[in-house]
Order: sequence, then C-alpha cells, then structure tokens
Amino acid sequence: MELMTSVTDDVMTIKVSGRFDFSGHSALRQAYEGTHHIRYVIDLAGTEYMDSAALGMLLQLREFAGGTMEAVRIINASPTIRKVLEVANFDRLMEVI
Amino acid sequence: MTNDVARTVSAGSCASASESVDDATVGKGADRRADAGGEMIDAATDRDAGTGTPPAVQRGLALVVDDDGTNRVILSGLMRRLGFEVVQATDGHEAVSAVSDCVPDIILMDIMMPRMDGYEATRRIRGIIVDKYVPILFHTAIDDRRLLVRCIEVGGDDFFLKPYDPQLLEAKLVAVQRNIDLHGRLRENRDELARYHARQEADMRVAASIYSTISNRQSEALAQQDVRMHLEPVEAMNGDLVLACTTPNGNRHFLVGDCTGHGLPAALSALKVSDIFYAMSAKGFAIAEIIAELNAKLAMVMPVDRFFAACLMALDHTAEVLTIWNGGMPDAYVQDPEMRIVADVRSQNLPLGIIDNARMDSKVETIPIKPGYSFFACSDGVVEAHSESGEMFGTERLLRVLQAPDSAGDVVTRVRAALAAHTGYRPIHDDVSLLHVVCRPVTEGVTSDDSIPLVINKAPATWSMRSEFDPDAIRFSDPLPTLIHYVTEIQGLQAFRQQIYTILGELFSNAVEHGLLGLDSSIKQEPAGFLKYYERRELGLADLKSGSVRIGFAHQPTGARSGELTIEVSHSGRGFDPEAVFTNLGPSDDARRFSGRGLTLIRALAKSLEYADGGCRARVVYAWSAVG
Repeated sequence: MELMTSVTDDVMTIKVSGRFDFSGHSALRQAYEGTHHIRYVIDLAGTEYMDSAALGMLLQLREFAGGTMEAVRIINASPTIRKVLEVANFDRLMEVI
Repeated sequence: MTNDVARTVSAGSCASASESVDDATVGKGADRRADAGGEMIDAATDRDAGTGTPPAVQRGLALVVDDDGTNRVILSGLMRRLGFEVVQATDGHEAVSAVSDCVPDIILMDIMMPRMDGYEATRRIRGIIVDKYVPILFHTAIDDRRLLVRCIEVGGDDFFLKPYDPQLLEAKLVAVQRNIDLHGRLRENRDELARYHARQEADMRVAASIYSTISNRQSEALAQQDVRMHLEPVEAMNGDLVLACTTPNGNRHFLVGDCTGHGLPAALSALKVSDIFYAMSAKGFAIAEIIAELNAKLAMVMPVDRFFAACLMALDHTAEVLTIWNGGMPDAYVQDPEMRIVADVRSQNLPLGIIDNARMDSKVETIPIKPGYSFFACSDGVVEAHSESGEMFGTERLLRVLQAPDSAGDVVTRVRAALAAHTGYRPIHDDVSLLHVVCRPVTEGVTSDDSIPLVINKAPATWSMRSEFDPDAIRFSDPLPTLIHYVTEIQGLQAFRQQIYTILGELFSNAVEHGLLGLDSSIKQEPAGFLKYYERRELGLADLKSGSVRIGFAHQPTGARSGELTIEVSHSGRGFDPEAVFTNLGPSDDARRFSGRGLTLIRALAKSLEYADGGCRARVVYAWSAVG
C-alpha cells in the first residue's frame, strides 16, 4: 500500500494505491495525525483491494476528523471496493461518491 | 615488569568488576607513567586527544596476543588509553584458552608465534565464539600481501602493520567499534523479536483456547441434523464465528459473524459476542434485543477501528417464520425445497460496535418459511476467494452452486467443493465460514414430555404471581424472558422451560395480536398476507394507546416430585372466539399453515386449555413431574 497526500485549503486528500489493508495502518495514521483539516478525502482510484482492517482505519480517521458525516469523503472507488463499502453500510458514516 | 605487563592470561575467569576498577586506577596512576612503554604511548595518545586524561569509559575487554613482550606492552598500553581492559597471551595456544575462559570484546592477534600461530588461533577462536561478534585485528611486521589476505580468510576482520601508528590503529578501532555496536543492536533486535514471537505464540494459544471453548458450547446445537456449518480459518484464531443455540421456546438462533482483525483481539471480541448471544438466547430474548445488546457492549469495549459484522437469524418452527438481521455480512439466502431463492437478505445495517444504540437499527426482516425451506449464510471469504488468475469466486458462482438442480450432497459440502475448484486447491486468503440450515416440520421440534429426568432440589410449593403490561411495556420490551426466568427459578423448573415458554409465548401473542390489536389471522391466507400481517402488527403496536395484558402464574404441588402450573393470560381488548379465529380459517391447507398451530401445540403440551370472558381470558394448566 502506498500513500500520496496533497492539501488544498482545508482539505487533505490521501491517495491510496495498491492493497488497502492493515500493512498501511501506521502510514495512514502518520499521514493525517497532527493535521487539522476540515475534511479528509480518501482517493481510492489506485486501490485494487480493501479489507475490513481498512474499514477500521477509515473509522479511525473519521473519529480523528470529528466523527461527522462530512469529515471523511471517499472518492473514485472501483465497483468491487464500492461493494465492500456498501455491504458494511459505510455510506451512513461518510460520503461515498 | 611493571603492572602493565604483569597481568598475563588469568586462568580461571574473567576480570571482575573490582579488577576493572583497579586496572583503570592503575592506568591513570603514576606507576604507569613510570613505565617506559607507557610513557611512550601516553605521549602519542595525548597528542591525538589533546588532553592528558585517558578516557574513563569502559569499552570492554581486549585480548592482546603477541609473543614479543615489548609489543604486548605497547599494544596493551594503547588499548588501555582507549578505554579497554586488557588480557594478554603470549601465543595462539594461550589466546585460545583465554577466549575459552572469557570471551573478549576485541582481539589483537600477532601472526607468527611459537606453538600456535595467529591463523590457527583465529580459526579455533571463531569455532568457540558463536553468539557474539568479536573483531580480530591482525598485526604483523611482514608486509606480504598473501599473508595479509589470509588473515581475512581465516576469520580476521582487519590488519595493521608494525611499527604501530597509534593514530591509524585508533581509527581502525573506531571502525571496528561501529561494527560491534551494529552487531550488538542486531542481536538485541533479534532477541527482542524472539521474545515478541514467544509472547505472540502465548497469545495465540490463549486465543485458540478461547475459540475451542466457544466451539465446544456451540457443538451441541450445530450437531443437529438440520444444521450444516463449516469454519475454515486462515489461522487458527481468525475473527470468524458461527454460533447456534436453541431458545427456551424451541426456536433456533444462529449467528454468522466476522470480527475485524485476527488473533487475540478478535478472539476476545468473539468471546464477548458468544457470551451475550448464548446468555440472551437461553433467556429467550429475541434477536433484535440481542443485536442491541451486542452493539452496545462491543461499541463500549472495542477500539474505534474494530467492529463485528454479523448476520443473526432466528428460526421459529412453530410460527414458520425466519427473522434475519444482517449488518455488514454478505447476502444471506432463503431457499424453498426446490432450491429456488425466495429471499435475498442483504446487509441493511452497519456492523456491530460502530455507532451507539440510539442510532442503531436493530429492526429485523421477517420471512415466512415452511418445512423443507432452508437458509444459507457465509463470511466474505467465500465471495472473495481468488482463483490463481486473481478472479473472485463472486456472488454469481455462489448462487449457481446454491441453486444447482442436481442437489446431491449438502449445500455446505457443495459450496466448499466449488470454492476449492475455483481457487485451484490453494490456501484461501481470508476466512471462510458457511452455515446452512434446513427447516423441519414443527412436530419434530417440541415434544410434550412429562418424563424429563432431572434433579428437583426444590420441593413443589404453593405460590402465585401476577403482572400487568401496558402498551409501552409491550412495545419497548419483551417481558416474557424475564417472567419465564422467574417462574422456572422459583420452582427449579429449568428442564421444563421450553414447554412453559412455548405456552406463554402463544398465549401472549394471541392476547396482543387478536385481543389488543384485533388482527385477523385470515389475512395470512392472502398471497402476500403473511408480511402484511406482520406489518399491521407493527403499525398497530406503534399506535396502541391503551389497554393491557395481564399474566398470572399459580403453582400447586400434586406430589413430592410433581406439580401443576396454571398460566393465565388476559387482555383488556376486544374478545375473540379462539376456535373461530384459529380453526375456521378456510378449507385449504395453506390457510392453516400460518396460523392455528399455536393452539394445537398448547393442547399437545398442556393438561388443559380453556378460554373464558368471551375469549379475553385464556387459562392453561401445565402439569410437570420429575422422574429419574
């Protein structure tokens, strides 16, 4: 799993490439910890796989970012990954577009 | 000889701490300056360091090997100035025995020596020291390339030429020290890793024992013929869980779940889940209540990034209803006897342990079933199992297997075979859990037994209790589990719990549905009537403003080991004719399928059943006796 972050105004965008699983746990935390953005966008365009540990990591980010519906936004999820998010009903916790 | 050279190889043991102090003191003392060799080196080192004080740090033990006394004096002095304690040997033989006594931190080795030369000594020393990095620096007066190359070949680390250049030697020692430090860190890491690994294995053993405890508890319920399940963990302590148990009124509860993570944390969550599931099911709580409790407890104890995806199912053979709640698990399927899929229950909810109960939806789906119907649930490892080319097993393949017209063999075995063929019989990446349950006819489920062998440790007594429930109590809680618990505890009637629960459950729902809500069972005869009936029940309950249901128990002994429990359920609603409501449903078998079985069942279990007050009051006498 590889991460690339970019910041514009109040939004931090984190691009996740490869397998989004527990191996990137601390890398993802390090990417956002200590930052104070209003919204965090997770770009899954380059993500080929996502497991339940990754869902847990998204929950952690959501909690960090204030726990609101607007705090985390998921973009560019492939149909397979969208299915993972759907089964877990994560669209009730964060925006999935 | 002065102090410096007086210390030759000490046979026996390493220099003790006190010796080190002595040595350091001597090194700094006037004695040392009086020594010719010492003075020379002092001068050299002082120039380098720019101070007259030798380093006070203890850098370890140096073994100086040389057959020439003057060389030993010079090298020993130099090493002491650099902070080493020094042991000396006069040839290779002495050097080997010195190392056998006490492993030094660095060795300065001469090549040409009597008895045993430096090459042979180095070769042997390398055989003795296996678990520590001890650099060996050769020193020689012969500038012969072949000899020097051999120094490295036999296990030396570096060499330097006589006459000694203290500055060059010290630089080499700095480099050597770097290697020693690096080696030390590596070794610490390795040891740390070994300790961590041991702890991890201990944790895994704990997790394994937790899982075996859980699976021992479920084995009884899962061993029944109508249930087939399979757990195929990636590692022994996966987060997957399949639970099953029978409730007091003879319903069956099932859970297929998947906890984030593996190992001990997942096992602890699994333990928590199974404890709650079994305890509440045994007390007769409905799955909606179990879900709420699981969610609250898991949200409380689990870290933010951990949650528990679960599919809970309750199979009511009597009412021929399957209730399902799916939070984060793959679709569960209900099939008719011809293997057609009649319901596809997808995850409509968040997994457990993420949000608080206030925002949690524990509403269940109600699906009508008949004997011969079956349901199937699995973990995501099934759908996500990859073939060698990376293709997922997928929902469509699963559905094809489930609906295969050639339904030889049970479903679990067929799905496993298809999975194995798809993955090319390679190990599967994620956990695979499967559950398949076939619904039986009601008569196989509950038996009227007045001959349960049990130990009665409470003599039959005379007692009674009455309770009354208003609309809110009926709406927001299920009072039955608590009541049944009291009744069976008072008289020690745990063995008859299932029968008593069945009777009370039938009477109570009749009182609510037909008495307070005035629902007509004949609705169930219509094609979509079954669901309509339950919808109306729900709407009616939500709107219920007044009325109440009263439940009374009275117990009388009939012998030393027998008694009669009278159960009376009355309601304040419109009276109904139980015989009309339940028997004149129509000519077809289907009409009787979804209703009326309740009274038949009560008659089978109880000594008597009668209605009074125009159908507003039902009275059942249940006789029990202990044998054996």
